[in-house]
Amino acid sequence: MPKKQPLLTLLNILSAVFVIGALILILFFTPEEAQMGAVQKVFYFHVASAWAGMLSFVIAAVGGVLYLVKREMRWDWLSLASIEVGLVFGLAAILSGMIWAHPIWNTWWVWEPRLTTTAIMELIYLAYFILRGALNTPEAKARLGAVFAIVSVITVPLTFFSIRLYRTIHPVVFVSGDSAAFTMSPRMWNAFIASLVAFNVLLAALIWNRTRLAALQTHNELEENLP
Amino acid sequence: MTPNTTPDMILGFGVLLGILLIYILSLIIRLRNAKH
Repeated sequence: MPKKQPLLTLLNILSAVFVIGALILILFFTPEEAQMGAVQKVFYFHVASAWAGMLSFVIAAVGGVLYLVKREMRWDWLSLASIEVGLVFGLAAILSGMIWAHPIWNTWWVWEPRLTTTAIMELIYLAYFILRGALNTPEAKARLGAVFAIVSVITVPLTFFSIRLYRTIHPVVFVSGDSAAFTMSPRMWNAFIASLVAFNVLLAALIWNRTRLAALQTHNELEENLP
Repeated sequence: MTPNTTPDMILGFGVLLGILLIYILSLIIRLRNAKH
């Protein structure tokens, strides 16, 4: 049975500490935005969550390429884990964004470029599990899953750059010299960077744990099939 | 005047962290099942 590594335990603890630390920083050490009020604070975790989701899908594509090159199951486990975790972060980002939009835009949802591309991205990655479920052998799941993970990664830059390519009401954060960009004070930046770091560590911990789960499940299936 | 959007903030953090916690819980349960 695959052993749990001490580094994973450390990563699990670190991710919890970092997320709680970032939350304390956001709730008690950032100023309240003048026009939006307290709901603006959701932004820190909303962006960090969307970032983690998109990074996760890129990792899945890398796992897909490595599987097709090396034909080792561990790269398929990484791809599967990354897409599952990415979907969770994506859902968290969409729902928290909707809750922010309700008092700020006066609507839960608008069919504008960023929201639409994010919804399409989530649905495409959801289809990854439908595809895997329709296949019988682990090899077919891994091979077609890898191709799916590589092809569908196109939705990530499409979503990321949608607010820069098209006219949109969604705020832009990572931009320089644009008056339309959302501007932050130094204390807001500190909380934002802390949230990004915390969610990246959490992402690493979740993907590692989910990959380990896939390894354990494969190990169990092999044991069951022994004569 | 700054609007009072504190309930929206609580809902936002609650839903976001709630989703993550439910997923973490599902991972813990699935890992426990896979070990036995």
